[in-house]
Amino acid sequence: MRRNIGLRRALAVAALLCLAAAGCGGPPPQAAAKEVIVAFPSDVDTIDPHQFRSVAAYGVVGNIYGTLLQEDYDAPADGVLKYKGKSAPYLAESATWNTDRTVLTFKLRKDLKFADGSALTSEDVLYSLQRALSDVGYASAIGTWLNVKDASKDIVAADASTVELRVTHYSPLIESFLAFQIFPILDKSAAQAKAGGDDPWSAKFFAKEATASGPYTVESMAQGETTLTKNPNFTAADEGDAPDKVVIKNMPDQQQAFLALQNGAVDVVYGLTPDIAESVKKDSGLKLYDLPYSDIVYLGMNNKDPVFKDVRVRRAISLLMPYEALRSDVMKGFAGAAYGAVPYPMGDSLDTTGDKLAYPTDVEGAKKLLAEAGYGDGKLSLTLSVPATEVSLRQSAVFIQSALQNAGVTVKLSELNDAEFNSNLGKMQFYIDSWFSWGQDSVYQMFFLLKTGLFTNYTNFSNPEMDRLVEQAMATTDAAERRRLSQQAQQVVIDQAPWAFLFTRNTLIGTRAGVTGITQSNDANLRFDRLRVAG
Amino acid sequence: MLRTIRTRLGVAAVSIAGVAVLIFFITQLLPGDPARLAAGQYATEEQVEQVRAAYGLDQSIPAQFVSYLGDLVRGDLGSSIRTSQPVLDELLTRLPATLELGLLSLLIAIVLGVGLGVLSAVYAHRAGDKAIQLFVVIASATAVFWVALLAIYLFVNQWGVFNSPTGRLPRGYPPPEHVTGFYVVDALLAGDLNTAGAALRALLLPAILLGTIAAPSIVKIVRSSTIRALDSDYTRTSRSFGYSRTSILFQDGLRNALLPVITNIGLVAGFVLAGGNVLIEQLFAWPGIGGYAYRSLQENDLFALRGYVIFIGVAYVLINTLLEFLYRWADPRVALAEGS
Repeated sequence: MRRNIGLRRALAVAALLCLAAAGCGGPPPQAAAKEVIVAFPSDVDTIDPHQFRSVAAYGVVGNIYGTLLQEDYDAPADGVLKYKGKSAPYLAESATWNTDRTVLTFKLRKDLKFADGSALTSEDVLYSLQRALSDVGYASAIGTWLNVKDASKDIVAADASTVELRVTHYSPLIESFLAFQIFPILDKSAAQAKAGGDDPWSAKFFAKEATASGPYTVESMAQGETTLTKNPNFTAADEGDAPDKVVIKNMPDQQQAFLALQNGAVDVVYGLTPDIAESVKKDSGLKLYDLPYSDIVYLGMNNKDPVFKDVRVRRAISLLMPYEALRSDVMKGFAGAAYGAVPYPMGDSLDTTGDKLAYPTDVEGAKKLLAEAGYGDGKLSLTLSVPATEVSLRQSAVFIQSALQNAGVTVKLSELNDAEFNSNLGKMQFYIDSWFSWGQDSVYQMFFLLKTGLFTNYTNFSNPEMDRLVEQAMATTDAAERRRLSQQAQQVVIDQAPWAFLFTRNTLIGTRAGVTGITQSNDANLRFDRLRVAG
Repeated sequence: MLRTIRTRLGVAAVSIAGVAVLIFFITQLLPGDPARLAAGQYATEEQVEQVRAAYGLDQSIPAQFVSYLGDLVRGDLGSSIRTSQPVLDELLTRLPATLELGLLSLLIAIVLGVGLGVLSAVYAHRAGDKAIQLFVVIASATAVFWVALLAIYLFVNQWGVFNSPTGRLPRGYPPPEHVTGFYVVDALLAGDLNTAGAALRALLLPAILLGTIAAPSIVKIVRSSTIRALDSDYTRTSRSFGYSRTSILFQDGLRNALLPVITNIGLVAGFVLAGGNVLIEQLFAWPGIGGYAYRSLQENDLFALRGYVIFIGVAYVLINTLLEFLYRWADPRVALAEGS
């Protein structure tokens, strides 16, 4: 008697069909003409230009929205377009100061349109700048540097193509900040159509929708990738040679991103770790762009903590840091020296070469200072908080722990996830962190990180002299005076050592050979329309 | 049958309610201030308070709990603090990617697990059995990420068997028109064999890895249950009737071993859909709910985390409910016992 085994046969056939299907398929159906795929380590969480967002989201927003001014770049050299240090007209064809430099008048280009074809006028500019300076997001904190007292009165649409910005006094930051993507030009009527009583600035709308005014527009945002296509109505620049399509992929694993780069599955990988950057450098089919930035990595010492109130302890910690080892062994040479809180290549930095150290490594000197402060050998124990997701900071923390042990300082490492770390900034005794200021301005940097009482002064540092110098630098309109005041403040910070100034991290971008047009910009973001792919 | 369905639905509702209550209180214990994280580093205390009020986080815990339960009853999982989007929408958008990977992984785990388990039972205590036991030990003990990295290095970069893990489709293939959300199925429905093949190739390596890691528990349970069944009186009776060895193995051996195997498969299904896929999704840049959950945990995205756990809770409940009906199919005595 036979028993039915038909089901088993059917399953076997189905499995074979699957395998056959997997073997099917020829080349991809689409010609990949002028398409660039950029891999980021994060996803695109929100594209509202006035909300805090991921690195990938900054990449998208900076390329779909136009600003009144944009960064001016040098001609490409070895594939890199370097920021010249000044802004150039973009959506505005001119930006003119009046005699006493209290009114900046923008004349918009003719026939500007949003991606949907609607006209871009001064009303849109007015709405956009007021939104940026409102409480809808964090951008208002930076917006105060525009020196606008009342956004509802001091930003005026003089006519359909003219906007006046009335400021309390001139600052060199005004024009450079207006090139930032936090001052994009949005479509006022589209935004107001989506506004509500509890959402007057249409935050929900802008989180996932865009009224593109820049070189690209969002074609789709789903399934871990965002696709941008050229904005056909963008006329502020000639985009003939720009890629037609840019795909932003979320690839959280760096190793996989590197392998994908080798296989040609992606063209650019943004934000490499030093280990992976070394591998890219060794591969003849790839190119590593190693861009110096003032992204400073520092050890924060809470100046309110009984231990760190004493400047001798802070200086001792600074003298114990293994600066060379951190740059060569942790960062594999992709880092610069940090001379104080305003490192090279920030404007007006005391260090014009990127080689100076604020404190040498001097173990005996450190021990002497600790003994004077009452913390002889073995008497000092600290807890160093480390953000768990930052590879180079975690590795640095291990080196630092070992280095401090040399002077009898016991350090316990406490790794925290992003949420816990960020929530405890300002409260932790001792922590390692990094900071990069868009605009790379010295006064801005010291204001936010070290001025008494600022919510971003996470070490609770307070020095009346430094505060005075920074306030004076913010108020002066004379560039030479500003530099002088800034450099005096920088020296105070170095002397007081609220931080141990460890190193500056370079931005590391890996590409396939033949990819050029990498922008070394003031906000460390790529301008996709400048990318070029040969072959 | 109707009574069974009513009972199962009742149990499911109580289970989901229990998960919902538990996850609310557990997420209250997570470190970090969600309002501060949402507002960002540059936000003033006033702005943080505004965000706190916008998300209802300024209310007392009991008030938040009542509001949370009310929203749940309406099917509202809240809005993600990180993206401002409804959590349910975000999970549903990502679900097809996870289901496509999870279901294929489960199929591979079942085929591998049942196949090796049966072989192990047939060759019990001999060389073949020992080799399979060795595979089970190695597969159970090896870290998923290590195996995945090694597999990608060998099969993608060295031998070029699979595409680079950059998501659900390789470069140059646009997604098919959305019908089910399963790219292989949607491409086949559209008659696009090229894209279906490409989607399947992108799916195979992560599915094989996840299925292989998930298979050992199935191997063990199939082996022990089948050996027990093959030693039984009814199997001896079948032999005396002269049935073929294959027929005895599958009809008497495996068929009667199915109940514990089905239970185990339910647990494996939960693993491939909720637990094991998180790492695989990260490594393969797979845009599923596992990666969403990981990001939410990192950034203390309270509502997204709660939504994810409830989602998984519902999935487990549905899986277990389905298992109940599978038991009835596998062994009619279950239905009879319930009837009496």
